[in-house]
Amino acid sequence: MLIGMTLGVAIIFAVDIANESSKRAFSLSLDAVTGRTTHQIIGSANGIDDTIYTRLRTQLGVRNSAPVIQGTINLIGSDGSAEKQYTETLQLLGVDLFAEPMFRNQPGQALPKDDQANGNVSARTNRDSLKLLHNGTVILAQSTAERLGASVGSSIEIADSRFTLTLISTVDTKVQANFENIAMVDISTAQEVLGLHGKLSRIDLVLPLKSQPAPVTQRTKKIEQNIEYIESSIPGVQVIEAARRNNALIQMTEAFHTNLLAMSLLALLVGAFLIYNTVTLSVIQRRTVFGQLRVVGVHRHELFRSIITETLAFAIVGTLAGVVLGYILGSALLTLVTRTINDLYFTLDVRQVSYSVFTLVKACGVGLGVSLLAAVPPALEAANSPPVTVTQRSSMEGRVSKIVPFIFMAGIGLIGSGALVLWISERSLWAAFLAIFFIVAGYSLTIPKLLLSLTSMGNQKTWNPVISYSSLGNYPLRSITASLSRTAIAIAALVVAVSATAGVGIMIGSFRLSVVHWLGDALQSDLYITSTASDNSLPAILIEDISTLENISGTRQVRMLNAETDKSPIRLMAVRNSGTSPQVYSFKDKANRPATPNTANSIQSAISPEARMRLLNTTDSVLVAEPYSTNENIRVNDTLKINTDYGLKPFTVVGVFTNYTSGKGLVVLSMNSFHRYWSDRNIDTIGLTLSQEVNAKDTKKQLRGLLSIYNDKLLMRSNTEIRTQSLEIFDRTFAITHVLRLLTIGVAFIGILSALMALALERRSEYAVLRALGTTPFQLRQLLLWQTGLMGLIAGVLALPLGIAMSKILVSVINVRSFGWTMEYHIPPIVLLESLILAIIAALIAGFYPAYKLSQLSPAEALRHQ
Amino acid sequence: MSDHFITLEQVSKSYNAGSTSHQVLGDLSLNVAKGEQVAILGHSGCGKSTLLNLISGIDYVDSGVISVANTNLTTLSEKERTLFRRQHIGFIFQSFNLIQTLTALENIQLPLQLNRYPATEIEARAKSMLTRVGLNGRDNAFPDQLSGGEQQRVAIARAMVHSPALVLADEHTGNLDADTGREMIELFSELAKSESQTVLIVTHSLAIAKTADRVLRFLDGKLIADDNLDATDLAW
Amino acid sequence: MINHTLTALFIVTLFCLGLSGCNSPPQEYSTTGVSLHSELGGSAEGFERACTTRQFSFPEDHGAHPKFRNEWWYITGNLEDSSGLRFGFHVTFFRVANPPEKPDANGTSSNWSSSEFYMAHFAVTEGLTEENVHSTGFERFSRAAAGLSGAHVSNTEESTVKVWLDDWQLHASYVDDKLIWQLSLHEGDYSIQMRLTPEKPIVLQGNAGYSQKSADPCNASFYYSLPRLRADGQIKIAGTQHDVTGTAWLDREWSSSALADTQTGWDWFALQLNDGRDLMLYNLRKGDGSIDSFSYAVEIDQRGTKRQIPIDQISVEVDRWWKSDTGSRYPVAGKILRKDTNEILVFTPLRENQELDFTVRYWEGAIDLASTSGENIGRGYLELTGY
Repeated sequence: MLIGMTLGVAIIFAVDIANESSKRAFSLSLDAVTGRTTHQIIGSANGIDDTIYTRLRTQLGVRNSAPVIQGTINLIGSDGSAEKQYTETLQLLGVDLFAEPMFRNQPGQALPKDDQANGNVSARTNRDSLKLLHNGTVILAQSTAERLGASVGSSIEIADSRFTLTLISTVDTKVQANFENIAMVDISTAQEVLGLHGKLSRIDLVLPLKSQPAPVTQRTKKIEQNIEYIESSIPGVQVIEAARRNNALIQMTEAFHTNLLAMSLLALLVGAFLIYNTVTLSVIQRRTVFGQLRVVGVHRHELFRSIITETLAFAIVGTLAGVVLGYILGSALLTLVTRTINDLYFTLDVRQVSYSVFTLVKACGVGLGVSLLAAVPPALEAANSPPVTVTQRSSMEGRVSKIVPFIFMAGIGLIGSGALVLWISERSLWAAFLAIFFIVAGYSLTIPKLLLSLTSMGNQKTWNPVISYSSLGNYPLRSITASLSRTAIAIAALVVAVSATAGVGIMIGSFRLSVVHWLGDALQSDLYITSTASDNSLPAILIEDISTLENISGTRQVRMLNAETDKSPIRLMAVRNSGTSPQVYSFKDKANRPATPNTANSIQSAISPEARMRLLNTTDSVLVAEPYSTNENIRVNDTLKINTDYGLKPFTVVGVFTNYTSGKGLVVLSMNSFHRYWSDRNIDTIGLTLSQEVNAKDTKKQLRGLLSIYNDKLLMRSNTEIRTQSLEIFDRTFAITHVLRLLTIGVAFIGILSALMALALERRSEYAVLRALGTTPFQLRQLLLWQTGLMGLIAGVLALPLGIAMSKILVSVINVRSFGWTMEYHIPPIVLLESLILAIIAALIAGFYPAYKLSQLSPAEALRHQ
Repeated sequence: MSDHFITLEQVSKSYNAGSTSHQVLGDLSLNVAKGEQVAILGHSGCGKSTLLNLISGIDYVDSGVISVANTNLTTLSEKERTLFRRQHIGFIFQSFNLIQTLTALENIQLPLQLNRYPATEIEARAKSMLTRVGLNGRDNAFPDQLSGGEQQRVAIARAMVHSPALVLADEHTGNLDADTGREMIELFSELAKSESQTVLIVTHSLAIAKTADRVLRFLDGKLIADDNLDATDLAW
Repeated sequence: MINHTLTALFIVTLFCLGLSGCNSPPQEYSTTGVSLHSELGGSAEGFERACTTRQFSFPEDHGAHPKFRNEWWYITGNLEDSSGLRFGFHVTFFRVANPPEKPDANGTSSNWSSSEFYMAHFAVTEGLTEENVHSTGFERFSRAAAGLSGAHVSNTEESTVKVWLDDWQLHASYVDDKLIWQLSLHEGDYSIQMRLTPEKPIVLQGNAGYSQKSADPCNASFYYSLPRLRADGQIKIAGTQHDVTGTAWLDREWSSSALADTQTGWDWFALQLNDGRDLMLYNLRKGDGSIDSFSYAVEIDQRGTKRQIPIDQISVEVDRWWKSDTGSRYPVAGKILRKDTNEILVFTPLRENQELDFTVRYWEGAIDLASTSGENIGRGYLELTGY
């Protein structure tokens, strides 16, 4: 009983912990890079000119300002062998210590107590921080340093860079939790490491400028004045609220966390099943005892009270144990969650497991609440029945079978309302999850009825093979349906778990297939050359050299930059195709409003891809990736304003294309447009299409020769390599879902196990009779395994429709609503087969122990105890 | 090799109840001839049921030898004993012990299925057995749809459907009213006689014991009398 | 003014205070301080040292001397508005250099990388009114890079001399062959806009500007002063602006050496007498409380002629100690006794609390000078460190 309860609570708690910890780390990490900042000065995609900061300080006297350079670096650990390097991806945070809060505070004024809570990364806990001013020095979290095998004074290499950093100090993350994941360096070091000479990522501001407390309206006015002052003094500068930028990031991960939340709802359901089953089991198991107690004169109120009290006691212990186990489990899950976030969104390193009181209350509430709920009906029954029938289990089963039709109807109703919710809610992700929950819960209510219908086919000889093999006739099948209250719940738990597995499996399968197709479309060039240099740009000479090469039928030059827009920030991709440039976009258009004929470049959505490309190349227009289009509700013919080197400029959307890269929204524009509005002339990637008749190997060799003079700073990869890598990342991303699925199955497994144990216990005398009639222990064992196998099979079969329904919702509703990805729907048969086998195997494994226990049964004793 | 069908030689059996050991049978020796109908008479807890369990191989002796139909049960393994029981012994339990989830017919079919009779024969034999115990037409009735007497008939049918050489009955009329009980006994001995089966009936009812060829009286695990009831007219 | 070796300690202490934050136990200051000092390039190694006299050249020498480790521009002054309300002000720009970096593997090409940084202090004192008892100080830091702070002299630009940290600025420009100084500092509701016109020529302190501080001849600084500047401009205190005039003193000093172990602090007087004479005195205090023989005193007459006063001819007698909330006791009032002229100058502070609780704590305040009969004979500034 304890095990079941513990596991049930544990899984609920674990999933929540993983979710919350990663969320907290995420917000800490946001805090770490923005701190108490209220506003930020941002520029165009390239960052901002660092002289703006100088002007801000020396001419405008804006004191509460701090320059920030932010980027990602991979540090190489010193412990690993040369073969297997340990690298850790960190957020490089370039700061000016003198501009950090400690220098901003009034002399003698202690730093505000809530500084910690506000999450400022400051190095003030350590006097060695001043050494940060030395070029090439870094401060890391103690834990990060340990993992890298670095101690103060040792130098740490940066992957793919000629720079090394010297560790000068570490920060205890117990004191500053948000330092985890951060590599703090001086601005100068950051500029060099990231190759951002003369640039800053942004300038953080704390507005209003320090002054006496003022009424809110006055303060707001003052902030506005400040912004206006700054913006009017330095042309081209844009001051935005820090929160706005963060919101975009938060939104991005929110979707992921919602998915995790769905997992935790699932865990809740399965966990609740488990707890319910174990509690009812423990009461029913002792019906005889209760019957006897009633016979000897225990009053029914007393009996009821004692059952409930006992259940409560168990529930408390089980819940506590579950919380502990859940914590451990959650920490393990967290690693996986973090990895997914890193792959999908941005560098995040969570080492601290955290949970909220709410999570705790929720897990405990489910543990205790469901336990009590589960205990009440059997306790009531045990207490209310006349002494004799308490020992008769069949009387309860009789009642159960009577309510089966009602439960079935309720289930159908739930499924219906789930479908309704799905249908009326347009964009709400929550509604979609609610619908799934309804459908799953509803479906599990229909299981007793379905179970009966399925097994009643046995009388129509459907189950003949089973019957003839078991040498016990209809017995195995019949005893499953005979204990509906027991078996149906176990099967339902398994159905939910297996269908989730199938559903998510189908979703991932569909997703993967779509990604494969998309990669096929997007990676049309044969070879890609990218730079590993810090500024990512390819040498101009190289581009010229390549264009002189024969055997190349087409090139595709790409420049990628981050840019701000009037909506959320984007990843801007400027593209120039020359020669044979293959069509790489598959368009999925939905226009917000019809094309207006008087707009020069407004287009009909039925326009050909070629025409779109022509528009893209000749007008101020962009292509927008599907997720961005969905999230920002920006469609064809809409206008997107992008912050260019010449301020905000409008671009017309001429196409929405499939894209499965995550993170910031991807927006494509032609290189011509890019050069018109940006001064950046760099290229980071060249895609090459080889002529058909050419030997690819020779060309590669030739290219490699060409690249060799650039000292490994250039990387040439074939489209196959990129494809493989992309899919690897894809698979890694979904690793966590596999684990969660297995975990769910594990819990369902325990459910089956406890159900079988209950069955075995209840049927002791029946089995003794069978033994007396000449059933060998082996046969008995076989019998039970048959039964469990059957239950597994039934669960597997019942899980398939639910799994398919779930996957359909995941693919066509949830993914669209949360990521903005539409994808092809595809049911891999192997997933269905897997689910079926998984269900059977899970059930069979669960059957082993009860079967073993059963074969040890001494019939003489069992008979004597009648 | 004895010409007795059942032979017990100095059989002892104890049960452990907590730390104390309670001897149920002590140094019991007896023989039963083939085709004999024997009643075992005694109070509750005198070791009657244990004797049945030992003879059927459901339980095993602490010491001594039991052989049935020239097979020494005490040297057989659990599985061998089970197989022996399946083939040669029919068992009627005190409280019928029908499998609740199976119909009357299916209950009767069980021993045949276990003995791997061909499907057609299972069907035929079980049906005819059902008819013989007077339950024609109740094939598909579940135990809880049958009266106590009817359940007992099914139990008898189940015990005898595969024509075992030995039938053991444990207080099988205990839960029935006197008339039905007598009816049962008559049916039972008639069936046994017709197939010349050896029968051991455990009972505490003199009336039932009277129908037997021979009565064994037990007191505290000891055989205190071995005769037919007419000869020893003791007041029980 | 301040001995360069003391400055080393000053800077060192400053940083260990600043960086160890509020939580560190006090005893950590000294130990961490010394090590931090060395980390910062504590020794004079890698720097030029002041070991003998040099040729001064102006306006070039008003700018930074990056081959030396420490340097400052130090201005103090007494002001008065038309209603007779008294003010004191104190503005200092410190330049602190790390030893020139050894060329490391990474190379340095960022214009943010610098081995120097600037620290600046800005303090104002308002006196004589009961309700407005302000004495407020501000402190800033910045790297000497990316144009954020620095000091340079140029003949082409608008201002010949420019010393700045963020928008705190000390400028000097020629007006009719005369270098006029301009102070401009803002901090919240406080600001100072002051024009400083020299009324006396530059005075090279010590031996022609070579100011030896201990027995080691290289334990010295280059030191010159502008002893009397006429100040006029505006000062804003807690949001209230005052038009003021007065007298200021500018000290310039640069050096590379470290403090002698025996020296624990100093008392520095810069006094402007009503009769046109200026007096400057610093007493280097030793650990036992006695006065180091390398202490120094000088008198500048009305025409700007300097006369060094032998250190045994001048002494200070403390009349009153003031204990600050921070626990330090400062000798804020007393008498300066001159044997050479038989003069007694009685000094009293404009306000007792002119302690500056910066990353390093010291007392820097405006004082009044009176004769023994109580007659006002001048004003000045007193700096008390190491208490």
